Amino acid sequence: MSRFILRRVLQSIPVLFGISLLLFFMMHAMPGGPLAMYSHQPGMTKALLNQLKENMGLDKPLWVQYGHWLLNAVQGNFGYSYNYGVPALHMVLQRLPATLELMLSSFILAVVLSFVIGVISSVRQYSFVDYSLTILSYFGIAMPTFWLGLMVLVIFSAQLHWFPSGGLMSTGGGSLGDRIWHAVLPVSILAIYQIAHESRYVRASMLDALGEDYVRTARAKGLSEATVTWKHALRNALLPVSTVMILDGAYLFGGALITESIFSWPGMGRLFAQAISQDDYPVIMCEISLLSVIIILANIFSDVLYTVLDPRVRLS
Amino acid sequence: MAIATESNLAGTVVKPSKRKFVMVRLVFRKKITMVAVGFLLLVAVCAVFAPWIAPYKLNTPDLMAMLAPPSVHHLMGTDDVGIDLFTEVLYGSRISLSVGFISAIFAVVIGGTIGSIAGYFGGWVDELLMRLTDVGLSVPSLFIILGLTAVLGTSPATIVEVISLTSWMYPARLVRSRILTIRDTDYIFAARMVGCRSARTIFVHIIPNALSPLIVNCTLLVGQSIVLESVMSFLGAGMQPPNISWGYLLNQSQDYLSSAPWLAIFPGLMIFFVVLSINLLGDAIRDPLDARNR
Repeated sequence: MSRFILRRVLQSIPVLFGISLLLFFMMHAMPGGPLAMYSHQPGMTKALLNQLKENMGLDKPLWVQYGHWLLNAVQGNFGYSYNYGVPALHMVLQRLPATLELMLSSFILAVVLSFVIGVISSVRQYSFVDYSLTILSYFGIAMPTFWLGLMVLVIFSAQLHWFPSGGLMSTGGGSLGDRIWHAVLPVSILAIYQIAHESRYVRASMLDALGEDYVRTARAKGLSEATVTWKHALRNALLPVSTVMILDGAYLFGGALITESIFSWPGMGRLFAQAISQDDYPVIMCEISLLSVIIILANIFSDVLYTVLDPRVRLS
Repeated sequence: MAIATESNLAGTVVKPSKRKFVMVRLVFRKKITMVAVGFLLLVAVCAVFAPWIAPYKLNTPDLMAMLAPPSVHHLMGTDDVGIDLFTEVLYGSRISLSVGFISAIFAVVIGGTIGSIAGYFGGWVDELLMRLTDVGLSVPSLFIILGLTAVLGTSPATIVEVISLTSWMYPARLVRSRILTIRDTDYIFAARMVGCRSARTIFVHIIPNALSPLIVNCTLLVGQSIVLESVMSFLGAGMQPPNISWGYLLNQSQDYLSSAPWLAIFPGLMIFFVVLSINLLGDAIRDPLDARNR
């Protein structure tokens, strides 16, 4: 097992290398480059700029610069935010808890509901309930997340005043109830696409499992339908679904970016949107690097999980 | 993202009492596909003939009718300076649809080329190109897109490039896996034997045989690209005037959510119905194109 994990980690190194090249190219394509923030300062002369360029190593060949950048990035030094002057990594990590709160809650909600919906659909295949859920999932997949967020804001916040229009907590508030009250809308919005998408996987996977011989054997033994469904079929249907869910979970960051912008949620996504509008390149780069690593780790994790859950998969 | 396929519509034994539902399902599905195609054609025609259909001229504010709710005069209401929203949505469909369509074609062409080269040549070429595909799949695409537009600007051409550069990976894998199965068939050997060069073998003999899953994927990609463009424009990193798109209109609606919700409702409904229709169409053409279902 440890050899398998090691091999997967080693395999991801060229991938990370490619991503770092991509990021470095982006950094260099930036208007103004790393010196942009200095060139507008009062009293800045051409000679001083050249001196700075030399000090920062920007006169060196490109591959040397890449090496320097890579060495720094590996050590967690992504430079300083142009607008706040604090380390970019520090800013991103500061926003991580809020994003994780949002993502984990909606991930759990999505997983639970996907299973409930998927299992009901598969057990009652081609019934009225199955059709209704299928139509709903088509709607959920075609509905742009950010628009659904806007509509929910219009209805539940602007018109009905049931929920706040955004933020992590009320000013001066912060009790558990208050936080949950603020989280209801963003968490549900972030979960809806996942539910629509994953419940289809659960349904398809359950239908495959329900058609297997061991399910017929279980029924022939006289087990109750509930035991057959939940213990025999679902356990086997879990396998292909679990990896899909973990990979989708990694892509939740994209959804979080949108949701956080709409609901003024002070997380990484909102920080990123701000950094984009302020051309704060170090923060942009730092966040993309961090998320790439997280996605790669999720990939490895889902592979490993698959082999743990299903002993039939040989590690080779 | 496509909906998980109906893996065993044909394979499952259906209880007699449920048969009528299967029939209902098939009929419903065909009819709904017709409705979807009809709707898409209507929107496309409206987009092409927008200047003739539009009831008002674009960008002509009517200060007597600012933030007017939907009425006979203004079908979808007006915005904060009194511009007719229906007119804006009509013109927006031109940008949204063409960006979605062109990006999808680009993505499939890029992905198809990379996938077929990787699959056909194998060895280190395959290894290199597939690692490249892995890189593409491992980056958080929405973040990369926003980062790229921050660097490269937001002209329509850039937006199309950026969208297609972040969505070619799935078609590439699709074509590669298809080609791996086709590569060792007799008719490819025959083509090689009569002296076809690699390029000719790929484009004349292999690609046409790998085309059907690609067409399905391309259809679904059109919908995804429309959504992606609207997300970019909504976040302020996409279309800028005079290139208004549905996403841009939604971006503008945010300040008037409580006073003029129609500004957010109609452009979003357009995206929703167009993407829904495209997904239905994609699913409908998947089954007949899939040789296993014939």
